[in-house]
Amino acid sequence: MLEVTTRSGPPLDFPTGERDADASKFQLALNEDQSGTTGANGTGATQLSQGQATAPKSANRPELEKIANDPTVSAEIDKAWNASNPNGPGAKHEKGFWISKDDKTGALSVTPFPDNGTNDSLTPGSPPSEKGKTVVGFFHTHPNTDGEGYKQEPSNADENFARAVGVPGLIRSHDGMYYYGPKSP
Amino acid sequence: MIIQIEYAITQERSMNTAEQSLISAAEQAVIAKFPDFKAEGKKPILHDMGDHWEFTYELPPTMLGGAPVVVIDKRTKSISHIYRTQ
Repeated sequence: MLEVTTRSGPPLDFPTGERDADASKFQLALNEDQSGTTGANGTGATQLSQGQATAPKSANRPELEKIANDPTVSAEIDKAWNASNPNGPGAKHEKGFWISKDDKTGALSVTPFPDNGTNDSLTPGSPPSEKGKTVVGFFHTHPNTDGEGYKQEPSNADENFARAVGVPGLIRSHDGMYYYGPKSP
Repeated sequence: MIIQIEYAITQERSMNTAEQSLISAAEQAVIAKFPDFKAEGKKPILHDMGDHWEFTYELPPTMLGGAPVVVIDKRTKSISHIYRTQ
């Protein structure tokens, strides 16, 4: 379950409809997994995933929500989020990975970024080039909180990087998932 | 926290001098608010956003991440917001 962190500004007070919409999306992800629906990875995995809740301020990108809620990708998002130490104590480190799709099966897989993240930056290097796979996006964490003076959404550098590599970005933050950048190939 | 800038731009100064004053004030605000921030290797930039200026630092294009952002209100000539992106 995602942690909701108290903001330093006015209290969060989303309209009920917005809250309900997010709850519905979350429930939908649960239902799909519980029914054993074949995921985007084409494995027919029956693994129960909590799903990645979308941040209220994120762009509406259903195709990227689907990628984030693929069982393989969702598990890796959870792993990277925990590894970035979002709740402290101690140093936080941004973590991330490339997301690739198998051209034949449609199965999604990930390639970790180099482990060079600071608390608020990361250098991913070049996208992987693997025969039979297409890079469809990249993911990274935003482990810092509003209380530490940080915005949760994509930065200008995040947007510029997505445009430069030509694939969309996914971010896990204390607000939930953010989606941005160009369309997935 | 609202930090009042010591803002001494006179009519006869050139725009470049005005920009330099803004950048200098914004840099001081960043040092005061985020003493752990390291500006080395990052290019300071000032955006004219119409009713306000935004001062921040540009990261190399190969990087993901953020920097402090200082929002300066043109009317009141004071810092209205200061935050970080990540």
